[in-house]
Amino acid sequence: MKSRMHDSRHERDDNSAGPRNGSIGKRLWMGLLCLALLTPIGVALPRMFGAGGAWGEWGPESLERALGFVPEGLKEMTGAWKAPLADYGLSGGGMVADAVCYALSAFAGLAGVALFAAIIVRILKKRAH
Amino acid sequence: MHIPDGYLSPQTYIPLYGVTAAFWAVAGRKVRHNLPAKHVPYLAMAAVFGFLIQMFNIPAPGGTTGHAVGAAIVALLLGPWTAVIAMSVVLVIQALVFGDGGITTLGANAFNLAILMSFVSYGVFRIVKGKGTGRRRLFIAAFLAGYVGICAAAVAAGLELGVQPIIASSPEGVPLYAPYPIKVALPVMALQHLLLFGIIEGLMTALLLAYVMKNEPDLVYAVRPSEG
Repeated sequence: MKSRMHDSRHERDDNSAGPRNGSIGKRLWMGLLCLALLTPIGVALPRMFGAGGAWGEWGPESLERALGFVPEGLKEMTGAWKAPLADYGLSGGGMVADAVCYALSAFAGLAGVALFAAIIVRILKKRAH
Repeated sequence: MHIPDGYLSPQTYIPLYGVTAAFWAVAGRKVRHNLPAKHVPYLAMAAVFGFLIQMFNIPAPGGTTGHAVGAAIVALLLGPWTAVIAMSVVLVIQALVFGDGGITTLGANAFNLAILMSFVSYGVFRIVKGKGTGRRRLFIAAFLAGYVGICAAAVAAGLELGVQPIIASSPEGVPLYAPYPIKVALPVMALQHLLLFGIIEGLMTALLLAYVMKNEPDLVYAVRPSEG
């Protein structure tokens, strides 16, 4: 609680130390790396049960099959953005290939999220004066 | 629960972008002034955790899948305003890089998963915890925080999807965006989370909180006496 009263000058000094604040930080990052390694479970488990994607997040092809039509507005907006690693790299190929792509996506996302979060916090904290 | 592009009409996603932007502005200010410097690295870790945990898809009856979100534990550990920023970071990367959730629907998804879920989870925890400090009380409070939080987000998403045929159909009555009637969308989203994903989110939240309380209790925002 005391740290909440630190003046901002002090905070900036602490900030420059970056995200390596002792062993707990290191342990948590190790845990997150392990979690990333385990993500292929998130592909294998649904496949074991023959489960598809999340409810209500189907692509236009699936809607066409289910409804017999694709809603006009949906057709216009869907696919407006081409995500570089769409579907976390899953191609519906072999289990091993998909597991590898998924885990690589996990690491790419880990790096991207950490970097983006660091940038946002840096911007926010910079304007604290 | 990541609504893709095309599922929400502009008259839905534009106002939700507005609401979300207002929360982002306040959350930014709160993080700037209130997030202790030593907690800064945890924001990035929390975001990474949210991203990774959402990759663990779990099959649900009916051939669909879902996953835990992680916003509840982040809100308890770092506070709801920090959770808003951390979970929004996750949603931006998911949408831009992985096509998980849309660009037009980012405001809506952030409202459901980053804002609503964080605040409901935090509020439920504070209410259930009350003045109690016992391990069992904290466990139950954290479970309910995760459970109610993810269910609230699912109900919000179900409502947003379900109203589309009502507010955005062609003159002939053909839906232009999300095509499922509210009496399907709402119960499906709600039941999936009430019966399965809510329990998973709740257990995860309770177990992780118990772990952090044991090892690094000073970190936990939601049990600091000074927080209201």
